[in-house]
Amino acid sequence: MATFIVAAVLAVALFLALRHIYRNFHEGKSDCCGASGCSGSCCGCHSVPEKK
Amino acid sequence: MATIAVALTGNPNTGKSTIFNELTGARQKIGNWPGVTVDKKVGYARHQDRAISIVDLPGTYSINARSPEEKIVIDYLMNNKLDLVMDVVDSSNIERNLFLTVQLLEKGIPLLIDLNMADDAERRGIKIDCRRLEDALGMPGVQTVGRSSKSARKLLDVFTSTVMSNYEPSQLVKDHIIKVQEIEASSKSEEQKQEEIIEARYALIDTVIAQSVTMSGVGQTKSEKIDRFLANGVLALPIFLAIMYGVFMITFEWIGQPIADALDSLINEDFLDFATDFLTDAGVAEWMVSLVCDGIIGGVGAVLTFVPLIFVLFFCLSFLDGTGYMARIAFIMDPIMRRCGLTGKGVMPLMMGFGCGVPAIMGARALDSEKDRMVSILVTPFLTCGAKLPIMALFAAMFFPDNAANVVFAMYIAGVIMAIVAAKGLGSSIFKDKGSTFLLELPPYRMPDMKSVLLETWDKGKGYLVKAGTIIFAASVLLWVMSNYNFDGPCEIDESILATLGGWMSNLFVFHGFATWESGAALLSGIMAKETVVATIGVLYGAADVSTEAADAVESAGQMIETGMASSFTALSALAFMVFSQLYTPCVTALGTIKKEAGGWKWMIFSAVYMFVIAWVVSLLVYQGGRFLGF
Repeated sequence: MATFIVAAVLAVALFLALRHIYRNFHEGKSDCCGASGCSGSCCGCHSVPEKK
Repeated sequence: MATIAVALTGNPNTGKSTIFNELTGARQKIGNWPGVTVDKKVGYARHQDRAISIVDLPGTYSINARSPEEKIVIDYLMNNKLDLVMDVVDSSNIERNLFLTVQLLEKGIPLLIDLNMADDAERRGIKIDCRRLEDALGMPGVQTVGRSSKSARKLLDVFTSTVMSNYEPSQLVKDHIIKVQEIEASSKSEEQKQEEIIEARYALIDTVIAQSVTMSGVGQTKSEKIDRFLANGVLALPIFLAIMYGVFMITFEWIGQPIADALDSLINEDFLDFATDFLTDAGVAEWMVSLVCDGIIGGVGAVLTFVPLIFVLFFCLSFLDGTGYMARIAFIMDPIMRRCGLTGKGVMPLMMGFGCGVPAIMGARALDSEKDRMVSILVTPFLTCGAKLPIMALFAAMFFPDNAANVVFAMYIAGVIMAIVAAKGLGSSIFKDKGSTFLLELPPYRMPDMKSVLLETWDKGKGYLVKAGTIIFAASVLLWVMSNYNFDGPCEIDESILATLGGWMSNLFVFHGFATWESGAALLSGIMAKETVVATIGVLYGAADVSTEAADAVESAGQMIETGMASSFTALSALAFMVFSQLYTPCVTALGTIKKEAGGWKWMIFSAVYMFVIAWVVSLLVYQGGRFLGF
């Protein structure tokens, strides 16, 4: 039972991690390119709403 | 009521980003680094029950649409319906700043002129009569001091009360616009037309300045005096190197390393023991305990241990950036870069590469010539990014404990030298176009705002925490599975899938001194993310000792890794491994960015292959050279 619980927790964590990696890849983002660290040149971090 | 749409424009280093931060509370890097505001940034404010959206446009000197920044500015201003366009002008450098103002007025864009850094200008003996300037241009004006909440309130008042349709250019400006139109319609050559238009603009600026500005005792500023010592002359480069050496001593000796050691003990001893006991007592199966403790804690923990070093290094670099010193590096490095056929401006994206190669590769967009851009993209990954830092720190601490900081510093320098050599090689072979000229304005020296420094440190460093919890976590699980199983099921580690793959890879390093399957596996996994090299070492050497049960429970994971590494590497082969790790194929994210920025698979594959080959050759030279010298 304890093994099953740990396995379930790990499975959820792994799913979230892989989803994060997939989204980064899909959107062309990099984790170490966050906010001002990317100096504004990383398009993936900044979506710009245009004025309608 | 409708949202007031405001756009901020102006020359670089006029304090535009600071104003944007004050107005919106947004976090943003301040300075004139290529790439700083290449993308538009939008913030929101609320004042007197009115919603205000503010766009921070890239800093430009003109709007000729020659560079990406200029194109962004003119496209945005011409194609969007805006209530207000605020032109942020550095009061202490008004003549050059008004050049952009005049160009914008020529395009028929009504402007709110923000005479920023008014305090700096006054200290330099420059007094601007705002009312007279308004009359001369026919546009509203406001005087501000960049980093001041009072100025922000003043601007918000102006935003909510100013109706730009009430203003029209003065007769002086109208006459100028007619003159420019006449020149453009003339039959003169394009070059001659441009010269005459520029002359006309400066004639208008001179008239406006004569009407509204008084100057008394304008002399050398404090920054200019400091620059005579720090950014010019023979001492500039040694001082730069000394400062960087100090940063490394702080990171790897004085502050960062002690914190990293404490964290290492906490994760790899206390927490690991606790997790092992807890899971065992709870009746969790042995293989699951091994997955959690050897695989996940071993892998993720190995990377987390180095996070303090990353934060301390980024804090130091952000602090230096905040003082205005980092921008000088472009000037200091300009003579060296010119010998490689590049300009000092190319140093700026490269400097970003010490944080992460991805934004650095993207930052190359801001370089003017195609040659500079491509060369910058292809040499950036040679630099020691934050993800390579744990590899350097681990091996330096393990095999060169008395000189760890010096060895890591040397690896950083080696990365820079390799980037310069590669730039020279690429610039004189594949990319032979003429490079661009170099124009970069230096921000004044100032005491950094600690809040901004800490925020920037956090912004840069948090990515590594996120990576530890995502890609390193996933990689650690995968590595554990691959190191405990083969296609027939559970097996000894040296018969595992990972051992097989690592074994194939290690065949390439028989003359490098690290032809073990563990090294091969670590380097292979490093292509996923560079930190994974350390995670793999953590999983493999931690798990190897456990599987053989040679180590009893008393020995910590850190000691196990040490023991395992000491049996696989000598000091010389460790150095060769560090050099190879420093220079070989970039991680997949960087490769993907190269593909996107350089325009295709060709350059991505070229980058992966040529870097691998260079790393292989240099690492071989280090090992065989070292052996030849008797090490």
